[in-house]
Amino acid sequence: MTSSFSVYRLWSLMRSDFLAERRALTWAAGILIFTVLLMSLQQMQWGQMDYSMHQKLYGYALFIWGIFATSRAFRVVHDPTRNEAYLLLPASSLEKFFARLLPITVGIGIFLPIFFFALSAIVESVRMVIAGTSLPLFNPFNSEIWKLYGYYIIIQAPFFLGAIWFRRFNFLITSFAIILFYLLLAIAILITARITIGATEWQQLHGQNSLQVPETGAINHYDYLNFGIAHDLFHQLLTTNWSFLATVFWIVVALLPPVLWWIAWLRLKEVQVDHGVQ
Amino acid sequence: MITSNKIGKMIEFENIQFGYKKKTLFNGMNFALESGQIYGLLGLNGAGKSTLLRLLSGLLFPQEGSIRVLDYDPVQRNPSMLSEIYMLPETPHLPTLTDKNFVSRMARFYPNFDSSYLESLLKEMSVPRGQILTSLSLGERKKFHLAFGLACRPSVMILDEPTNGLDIPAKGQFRKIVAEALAEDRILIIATHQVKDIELLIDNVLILHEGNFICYQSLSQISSAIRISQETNRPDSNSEKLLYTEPSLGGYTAVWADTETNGEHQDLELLFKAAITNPEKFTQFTSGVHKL
Repeated sequence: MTSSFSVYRLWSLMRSDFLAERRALTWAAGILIFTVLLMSLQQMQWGQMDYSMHQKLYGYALFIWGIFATSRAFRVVHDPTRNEAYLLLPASSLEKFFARLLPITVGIGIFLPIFFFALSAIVESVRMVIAGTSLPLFNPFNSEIWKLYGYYIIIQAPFFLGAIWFRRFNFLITSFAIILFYLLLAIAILITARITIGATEWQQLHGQNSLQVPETGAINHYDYLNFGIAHDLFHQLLTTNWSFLATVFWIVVALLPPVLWWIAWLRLKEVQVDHGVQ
Repeated sequence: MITSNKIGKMIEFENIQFGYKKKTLFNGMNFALESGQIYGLLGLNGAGKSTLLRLLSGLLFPQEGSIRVLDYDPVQRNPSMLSEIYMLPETPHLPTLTDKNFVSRMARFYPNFDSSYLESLLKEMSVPRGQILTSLSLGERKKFHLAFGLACRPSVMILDEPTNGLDIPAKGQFRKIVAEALAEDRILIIATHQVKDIELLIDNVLILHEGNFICYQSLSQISSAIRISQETNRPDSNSEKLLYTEPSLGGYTAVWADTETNGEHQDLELLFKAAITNPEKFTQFTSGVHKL
């Protein structure tokens, strides 16, 4: 038996999880089918033709189902009645980690487009028979679909970390944590920009009325907080190297999911059961 | 096949420190458990029995010191180690599956799993078949869990309060099956308050008290050092060799430190009470706390 990774054990874990969740999966698929049918019937009733209906519903399904499933990914770890059996199951932390990550990243990315294609084919066939018109089928190879999937992966990653990090209300607490993080980030960027760029450039960049910083005759904030090199560097970056900044931003965004997944794996490795006096 | 790490010391605790936020439980604990033995782990509520079992199975991590189980560090939760450990919890929470589906899901993680052995154990214990496991009674679930655990053929079998919820015939079956399951390359640890249920089963007694073992001996060692007598009058409490006394029908039962005994069968419950009531005196007469 290999110590840290075995495809057989990973497959066994995923199979076991699928068997445990198959009822919930059936319900989720049923709700999706019902929603698509209902919207199609409603459109037929009102004589509407929303040509992007399947694509929109795919987006909703991907984000709602995906994030919900992600937030529940490590429910067993926080359940005192089941966590001992889970942690004692002979599989490594890496296998347990991938067994939970793959279905909500790769699995959902493959399953949902195929599911929506099949569903749209059935629904549009029915519409053709009843109403004599049909919408274009859902196209799994549409670049917009994969762009949405990319956004989903980025958004999903913090919820995956939140699923292992927080003991309860994983979705809500992770959402609050993300909002708080972005608020703090925005404040930090505003302060940094104000200090390094200065009032004049700030107003040029954002318009005269966007942010009026009062300047007093006694203390000129721009001079007082001017950091020289930083000012010039930031000024140059923002005015002439915008594409460079955009590239850096997207590299950071692309690295975010693997980094957050890695932290989630470390957390899973270190998780202990709650027992006794705390 | 018996491998070298499955004979001799299977579990070693070295200078283990562990506690919860407000309470230090183990402070420099040392001990070793050997293969081919059944250990009875006894202690008052909150003495740390369950914590000890969770430390050795890697469910909790020590704050200091090292633990070795089958030459593995339990903290790493190595799959090879985990496939050699099976823990029967006090209240087994089985999934909403039939016995067949449960076995199909779980057995694949245990390379030594023996399905014919499972079948024979389930038959012997009269566990209902083909039902959803959650619909079984507590006793039936425990029997199913025990049978599955034994069929995994682990080297370390941990049983936490295994007889709770079992009826009287099932307790007898439990003792028989556990005794038969013992092998040279296996160790069984039974943590319980139901000492009467296991006193004919265990080879060694571990009594945990205030973070250390006040008894870490084989029953035969204890039998050669302890004598239990029935007295008409209350024994003199100042007697040096008196470890414990309690009123009984027609007089008093007394536990004595006495090396002149002929190795008679010990009442484990009385022994436990004697150890807990007067730990210093008890350890003084039973060679004290074991050190590695």
